[in-house]
Amino acid sequence: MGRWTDATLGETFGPIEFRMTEKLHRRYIDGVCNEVPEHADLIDPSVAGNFAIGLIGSRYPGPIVHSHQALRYYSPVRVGETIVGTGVLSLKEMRRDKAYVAVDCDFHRGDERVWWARMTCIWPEVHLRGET
Amino acid sequence: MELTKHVTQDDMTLYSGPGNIHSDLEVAKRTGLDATIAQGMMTLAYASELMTRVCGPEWLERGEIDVKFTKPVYAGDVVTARAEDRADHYAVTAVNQAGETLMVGEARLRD
Repeated sequence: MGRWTDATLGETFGPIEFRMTEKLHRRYIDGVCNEVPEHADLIDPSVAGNFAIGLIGSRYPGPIVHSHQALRYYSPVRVGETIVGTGVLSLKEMRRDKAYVAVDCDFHRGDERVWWARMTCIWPEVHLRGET
Repeated sequence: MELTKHVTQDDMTLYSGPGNIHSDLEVAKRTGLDATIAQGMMTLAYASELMTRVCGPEWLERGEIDVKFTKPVYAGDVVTARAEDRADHYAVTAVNQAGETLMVGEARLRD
């Protein structure tokens, strides 16, 4: 992961295109043994949390300690569609010697917002290397 | 309402892909872990599936969920996700086979 000191509040991520292929859909459905009939052709919207990790990881790759996750769903997304994700670093603070960051992400299909996600994580480098 | 999942390493690898702390023991050890751990999003996906069962297709159009991850999930764990109706929201939890809380939070349908 990148350096804690490099991240800044308001820093933006993306836009990144996420193509909802059948293969990606099956990965996230079969990986949790989800047999809900709605997901025959509709994406499990909780993948927005995974994509939020992908957005921050596009600049700060590496393992994170996922702390909190908030999700808002606005419109179902079908297999085969493409959505575009953007994010902004909305929190960066130390709490009890742990370095937290949060990224707020919007996911759009064209002009329509389909999902929103706030992913909060602990920056592991601060623990592992003592960086502050 | 609740649902129970048996977490396997194969599930974890399929969900998170290869070469990370969720699927590769060596990578996990380099990060200071004793074993691979399931991605937190898997536990949230269980809860989201549960809410789809509770609310139906509306969950995909106006569902909201906000959770905190409290303990790691390992291969071989049995995870039970629960949603308890509290009138204006659902109290969402996930526990393992030892009764330890893995995730806690709230879910609701927007008006």
